[in-house]
Amino acid sequence: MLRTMFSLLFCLTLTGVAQDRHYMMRLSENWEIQGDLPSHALLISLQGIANIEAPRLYFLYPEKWDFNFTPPLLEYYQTTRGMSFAELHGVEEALATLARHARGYVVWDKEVRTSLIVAFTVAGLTRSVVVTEDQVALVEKHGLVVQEDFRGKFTGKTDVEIYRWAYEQYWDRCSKDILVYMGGEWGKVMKPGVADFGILKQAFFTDASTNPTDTLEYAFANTLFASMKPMSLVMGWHSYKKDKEAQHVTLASRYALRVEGLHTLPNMSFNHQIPVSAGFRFTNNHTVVPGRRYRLEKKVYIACIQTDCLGLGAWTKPGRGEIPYAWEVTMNWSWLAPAMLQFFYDMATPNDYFIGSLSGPGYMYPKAIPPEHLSAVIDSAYSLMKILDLNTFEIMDHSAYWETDGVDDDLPREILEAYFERMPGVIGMANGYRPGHTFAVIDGKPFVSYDYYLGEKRDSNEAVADLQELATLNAERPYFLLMHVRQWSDIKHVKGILERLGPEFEVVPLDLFLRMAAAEPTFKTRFGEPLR
Amino acid sequence: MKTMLAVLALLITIAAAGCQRVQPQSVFGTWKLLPEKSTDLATWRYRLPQLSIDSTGAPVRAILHWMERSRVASADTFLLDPGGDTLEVPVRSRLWSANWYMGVLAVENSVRKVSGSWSQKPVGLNLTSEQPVSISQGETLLRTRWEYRLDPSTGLLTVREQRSSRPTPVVMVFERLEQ
Repeated sequence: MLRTMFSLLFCLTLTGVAQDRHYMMRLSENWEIQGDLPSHALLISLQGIANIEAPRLYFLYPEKWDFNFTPPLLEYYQTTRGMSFAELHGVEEALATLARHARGYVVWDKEVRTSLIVAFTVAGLTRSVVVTEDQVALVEKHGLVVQEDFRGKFTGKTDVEIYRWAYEQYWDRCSKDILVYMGGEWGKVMKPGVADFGILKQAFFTDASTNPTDTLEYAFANTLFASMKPMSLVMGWHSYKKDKEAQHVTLASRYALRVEGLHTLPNMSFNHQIPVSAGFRFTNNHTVVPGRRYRLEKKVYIACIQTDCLGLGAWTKPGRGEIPYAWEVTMNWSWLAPAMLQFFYDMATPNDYFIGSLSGPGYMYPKAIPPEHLSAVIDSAYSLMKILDLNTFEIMDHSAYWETDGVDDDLPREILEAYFERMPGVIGMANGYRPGHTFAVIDGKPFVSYDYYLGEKRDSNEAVADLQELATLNAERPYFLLMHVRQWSDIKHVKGILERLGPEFEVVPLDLFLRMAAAEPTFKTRFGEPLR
Repeated sequence: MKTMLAVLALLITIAAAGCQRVQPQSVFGTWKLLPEKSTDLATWRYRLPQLSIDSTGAPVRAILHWMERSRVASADTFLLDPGGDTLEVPVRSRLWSANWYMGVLAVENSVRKVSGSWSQKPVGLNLTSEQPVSISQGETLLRTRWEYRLDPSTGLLTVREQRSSRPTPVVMVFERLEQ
């Protein structure tokens, strides 16, 4: 008994988890500049600063937040790591408890939204919290001194003028490994969930447009991306107002940078510091037994993949585990937030199968990656897959998407061959977002594009008809129908659709689906145009 | 004077109301989809179809304009000689606008064969089309029957699209934008 207690204490000391007191706070649903955003921004910056030396402050995000796992993850930390959390109520109490970890404050201008984005940059560099003028007296009461004051400084200036100024002032001191895109919502709302991590890592913050028609901001974004080290992270997300996801990821990929969404990713300064439990190894739920032969029938085989990252939608919703389901793993969480990823692996049922994504060690478009970087990108992704016990990989490329009305997410043969050559342990790959049109078997391993996209708002009767129509059009059996389930669809809804398809259809685990597709591929081999 | 003005206003109102009641009783014109009365369409970026039917030339021409707000993003054209020969319409894009969620593409530089007849001129029109489509197992021929019916009592145009491969029809209900 005594030995167990000593070893537990030793483990906790090694992991650093139990050395500091932990605090938690609840954040509200209001993220408006004239609402709760000033308080939230202050608290998130305080979180980034307070968590520099140890994981101290954790937030419970509201119910409608993109990532919906902050309550169960807190509970997981409590039950598996023995962590206890004291709840803080309001900014005043948070400052009273944690302001000693900060050196100062930065004032942002509520009339110029972009000033808050620059303030986050300064917060990381000066160990400061971000405040509006209404909050100055409050933070001074706790001994903090002004580091920068942006009141009126950017009035009348465009975003690119502000960002150029910030670049001149701060870029040299900022991280070249992590850049934060504080995009997403725009106008009177901002949801800076990932800002704590950017502050912790002294990242530069921006939302500069990657739309080539926004010539000035686009040029600035190119300057930023070119100044980062290849393979570094672009965290956060693009601005929904300024540009498109495909433009953002395409431009990042051109500099071999990996996008790691979203702007709302919560508590990363905390989660980053919680290791996996002692002796833990990531173990996937494989169905295929090596060497075993599988009998194929004249059926329609369906495999479901939920894309768009773990924790955004269905994982915590009812129905998980009732049918075979494949989940995209955000592979960088293995080092960005190890215990958080362990949380998902620990919760997985035998029907939850994890796959590597998305095109690289992060979100990238292979057709846009400079050829001299492609091998390193694939190797890095493969090394993460091995750590995470993943043997299926997923690719998505929308670098030509908007120019082709959403039709072209095809891949040329040379890219497929590069992936299969450098990932010798994979059993197959999936491709696309909407239905793709690249199909092949390379070295006995299938490359299968999505044949169906199930949007979360799709009428159930029409979804059933869609799938039945696909099975009629693709008349040969077995027919391999790979289905992309949009992340907001819960599994009960998906199951209800699949159950109505009839006896000819069978839902199978993705690894079995790929094994069978390799054995009897009935799709027609098709590649995208060769790269120019 | 005041009385005369009131009578004049009344006459104008009656005349205007009369004009409103006289709806053009034909399928010809430009039509806007009523999504709430129609089948859930799986279109890209929430595009909605706007239908234009005219017969200024010899054949009847029906064009489904897929609208992104007020912009025409793409168009499907059907040329029809009611009761006459089958007409061939060139397909110039791989985009198969009918359903963005399914792994189906049009075949670029192929032709769509269209034939049909009036079921009740000028309020009922039937079309059939044949066009090759690209699917994961290769190419196949897609046959579609379209029924256009104008309901004189409501002024609404119902288009019932029945693909040979689909168990249920896609029903689109339109209201008139202009003649």
